[in-house]
Amino acid sequence: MSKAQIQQADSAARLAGSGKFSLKKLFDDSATIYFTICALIVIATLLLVYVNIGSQAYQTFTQWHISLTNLFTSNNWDAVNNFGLKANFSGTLMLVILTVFISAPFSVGMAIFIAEIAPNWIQAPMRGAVELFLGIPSVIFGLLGLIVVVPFVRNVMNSLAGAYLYNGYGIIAAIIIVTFMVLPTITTISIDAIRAVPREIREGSLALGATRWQTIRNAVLPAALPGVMTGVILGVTRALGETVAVAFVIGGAEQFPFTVNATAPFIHFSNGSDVLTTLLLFNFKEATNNTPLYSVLYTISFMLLIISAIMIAISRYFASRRVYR
Amino acid sequence: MSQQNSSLNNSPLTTVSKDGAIKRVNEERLLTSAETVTKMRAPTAPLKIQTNTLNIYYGANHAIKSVSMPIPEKQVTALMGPSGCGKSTFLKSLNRMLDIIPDTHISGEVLFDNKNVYAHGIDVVELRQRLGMVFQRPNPFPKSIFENVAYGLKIMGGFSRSEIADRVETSLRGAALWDEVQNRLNQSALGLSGGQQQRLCIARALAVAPEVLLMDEPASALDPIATLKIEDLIHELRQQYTIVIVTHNLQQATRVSQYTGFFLTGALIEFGPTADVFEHSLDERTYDFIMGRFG
Repeated sequence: MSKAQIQQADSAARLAGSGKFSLKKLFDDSATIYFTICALIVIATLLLVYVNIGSQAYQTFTQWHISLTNLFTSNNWDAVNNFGLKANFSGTLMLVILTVFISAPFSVGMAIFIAEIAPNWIQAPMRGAVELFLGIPSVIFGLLGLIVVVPFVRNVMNSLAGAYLYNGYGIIAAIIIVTFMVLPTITTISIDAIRAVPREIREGSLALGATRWQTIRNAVLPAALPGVMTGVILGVTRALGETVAVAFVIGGAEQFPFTVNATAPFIHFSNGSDVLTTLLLFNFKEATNNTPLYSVLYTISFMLLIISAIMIAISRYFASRRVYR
Repeated sequence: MSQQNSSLNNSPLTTVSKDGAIKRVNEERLLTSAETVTKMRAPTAPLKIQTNTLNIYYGANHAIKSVSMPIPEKQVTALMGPSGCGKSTFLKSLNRMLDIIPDTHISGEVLFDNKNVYAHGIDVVELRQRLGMVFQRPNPFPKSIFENVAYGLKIMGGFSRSEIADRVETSLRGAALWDEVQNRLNQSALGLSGGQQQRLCIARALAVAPEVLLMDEPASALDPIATLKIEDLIHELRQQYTIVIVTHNLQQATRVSQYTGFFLTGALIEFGPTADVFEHSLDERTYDFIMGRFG
């Protein structure tokens, strides 16, 4: 039916039923309104978040005259006059890059095992376990980090250094904890990506004389790669934004996560550092309205927003390149 | 088995006997394997493959029933029969592609160059390189055209870049695809049409220099023109390769093959030169199938 026809039929129906109360029509109209409002709320919230945080962040530069280069190149932070984020920014960068580099191979390996190698009766419980893992609240990871990981790091590093130099808090403990948190994110998405590769691809490879491992490596994984990359990017996003668990183990000090002028062998890791998210967490309760600190913290928030938006864009790009769904 | 039964039971099976009287086909006779003795007109050409009392079970389902079939060298042998008659299963047993299906049991032997492929100590990887396979649906890898053809060579290893490039070109020419793709070898194979993809899959199989090509309804997902190209290609390939082709299409069997085996519910009913099988069927069931009475 053309639009004109629909309109005609519509008005005819309206004429025929004019003045009559129709319950069906009431439901129909209210459903439309309800769904529209839902969509509007989501969009409005998103806009509000960006506009609110963005405008507050903007004051850093207009009202307090702190330059972006100053934020990124200075390492001097006193929360009153000096707001150098270099140490925190490099801490975040290090945390994200290392956690993803460590967890991605493990996650993909686990996904290959679950999707390709494990017999059927193991597959389902394994997937359930991974999903359960995904659902563990980050505060529990934080607690475990405090109780298990921090002492572990302390012991290992001090015995490596041969002296009591470390308290165990800092970027290494954070990396270990976040690696475990990122693991199930990448794994679940990789499992789905690998399972979406059709059987015909495996058969085609096997029929050419490839072994099972060659088939996984050369046919299945390349076909699943865009999906796996989506998982990796979401892992990056999670590592980037993780605050609570990291706050338990990072120590909270405005210093570089490590320095190379070593008092210990090779690298000297700091006893405590901060990443962008924990800096925000630890400082916000002391920040009062209309101070430079307040604005700088908003700037950090806005940076995190922008970076995660970029990550989502990248993951959308990979998702669009998926051949098999 | 249950699938076969239902498909046969649901179709009204009637037949016109040679004197013109319409009668219902004896379904029991179609379904039981009482007559698994093959009406055989043995080929005169030398044999490349010979199966001896090959039995295949999927779990409790007896999919292939005591099939002894010769496959002559450098000829096209067509396997025909109604859906679910076991022809694809039989084909996949030849290069041991059934190995990847769990709960499959095989007895009897498949002699390939007089060696049983199911014997202990057979290298399955090498076997599958010697018996190339083309599938029902084109299944190119999501890689470039070049990479698709080079895949088998890279798996085998030990080829230089220039050797690989040469083999890729030869294989694409062999599959009558070179002229269409020579300027876009680095583009994704998924951008090709269905017919081109299937010829790419043939080229991919040819690249590892097989002796036999196993084709599982290679044209069933293609349009008539693409089908014709594949059939022309099969004619050319016959000069160098032994070809076994599963087909659902009777005309195709007559067009491309020199020998035909007719399968029914897992048994090989009749085997012989294609012209003889089609024009002078030795078995009534073959005749009924060719006349389109069932299947």
